[in-house]
Amino acid sequence: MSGREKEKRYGYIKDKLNELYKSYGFEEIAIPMFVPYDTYDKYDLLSNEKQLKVIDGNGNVLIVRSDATVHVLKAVRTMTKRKDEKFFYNAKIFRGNFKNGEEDEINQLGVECFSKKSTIIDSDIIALAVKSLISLGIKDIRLDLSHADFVYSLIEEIKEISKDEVETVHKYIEDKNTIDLLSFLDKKNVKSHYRDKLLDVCMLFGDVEDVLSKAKTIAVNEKMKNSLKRIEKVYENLKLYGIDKYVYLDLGFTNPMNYYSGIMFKIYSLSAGREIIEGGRYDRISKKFGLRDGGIGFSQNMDLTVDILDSYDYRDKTYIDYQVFGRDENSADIIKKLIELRDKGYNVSFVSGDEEKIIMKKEEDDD
Amino acid sequence: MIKIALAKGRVASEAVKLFKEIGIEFSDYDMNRKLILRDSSNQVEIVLVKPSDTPIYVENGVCDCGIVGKDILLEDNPDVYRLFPLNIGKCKMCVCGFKGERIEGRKTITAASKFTNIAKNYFDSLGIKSKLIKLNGSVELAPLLNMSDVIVDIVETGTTLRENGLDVLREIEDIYSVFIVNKASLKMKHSKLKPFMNQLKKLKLGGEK
Repeated sequence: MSGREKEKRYGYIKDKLNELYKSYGFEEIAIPMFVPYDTYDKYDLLSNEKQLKVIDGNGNVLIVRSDATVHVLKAVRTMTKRKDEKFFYNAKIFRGNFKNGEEDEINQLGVECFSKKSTIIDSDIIALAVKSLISLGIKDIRLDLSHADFVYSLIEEIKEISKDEVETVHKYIEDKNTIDLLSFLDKKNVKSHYRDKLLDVCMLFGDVEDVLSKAKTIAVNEKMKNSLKRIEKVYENLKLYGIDKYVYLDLGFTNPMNYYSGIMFKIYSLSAGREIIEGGRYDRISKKFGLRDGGIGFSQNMDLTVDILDSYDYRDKTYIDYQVFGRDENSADIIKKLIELRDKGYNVSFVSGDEEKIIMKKEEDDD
Repeated sequence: MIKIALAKGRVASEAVKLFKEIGIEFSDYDMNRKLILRDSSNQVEIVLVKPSDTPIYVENGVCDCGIVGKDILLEDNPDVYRLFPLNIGKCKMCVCGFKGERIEGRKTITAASKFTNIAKNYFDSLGIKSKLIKLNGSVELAPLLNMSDVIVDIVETGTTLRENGLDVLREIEDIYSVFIVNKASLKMKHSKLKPFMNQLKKLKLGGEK
């Protein structure tokens, strides 16, 4: 696919999704490119290797946005708080590790909603995420639902695992790497009672009812039990939206830097080979940094979206319906023709040329 | 259809044997130079790749799963699920060098390796500042030509080492093959993958006696 072709598709998808977001009550927000390093540090948001840094004229280090949410929060924090705050953005995010020619610029679309905890809002956001893929014709999708507290509060209870080691354990669980997790836990002398539970969590994914009933036997504390109740409630709501057939659970999701604080979800597409939408509730950071009661949102990887629409044999809607050719001497006729066609709702472009003709672009492009 | 990325050569040969034990046969394996082969029942397709590329095919979802050495997982840290070990390609990641070469108490060390990330992490954990030289093969040459103090490499029998007057100085980690799965495939093709994985897992346990 040529760069130009990609841009066209990107534009088309962006417009379509922006309209969809608006129909769910979201308004567009422009978000800043830079946030001071100190701010990231203060709110424990640093994940160094991923973040691209620049130095301003005064020698201050700034972080170029590598995750849109923090930058939305920076924009929101200076705004007067309202009851209904729902925003969407179209943004590029940047990665700081230029490893093996990986994409260092990623086009992202996303929504953020600031409100205190509500299972209806959680479900409405998830429904919007699913709809934004379905409305583009992407149907080979699967949504995995989880809750940040489930794994986190289990690990918290295990005294043998120190604060510094939590990330290591997370990484093993994230990779479903039971082999190395087992040897790590044994090295730390974690009691078998906890060890077996953590190992089980790795493979705790699949059908909602199945996983919930297994998870209930693993839930050792109130926090874990409450997180399951919340998942259950959101799932009940998603049934009402009629999208429960896409919904599964994966309680082995992890959550770097304890960023998410509630419901988390990922939507996978088989043709993309990975997740295409990622989101969740992040109350802690929206309270501290955004000065809001809570927040939930998701982001969609637009580069992947454009790629998989290709594999769906997607055809771009032609931007130009008619090309009108003519000379300046015949301006009256030509302008009349242009107005006439545009009034009918066509996209019309005038091209200066010797011959007078009108070409319908759609047929020409349909090869 | 399940697509599996396999490292050309020993891993692939051993894997094809394992598959045969669970009733999946690739009759034309090793008969020609085809890189993509299908089993007789059209259930499984194997893709023969360069060993270090195996996780790349799985990460990008063009293969659902793969069999890859733990050395490559440790070195490249790909974004894939690492589900269970297989009884293929067992060896050890070691620090090797001339007999008597000291490692403790050093402040700095120069090491040549194919696995520079693994080497760096290991020396970091010992608090030794390391200078690393990335080589793509015949790593043993580096200490012989006095280009490095030691090498970090996988050791199976140790014959090449001994014939060149080198020895294992430290064992870093056990290396074995791991069954990896693409993150979307594990979820979305679970009903197909699960019986296949379960049969493989059973074999692995049987073979470990």
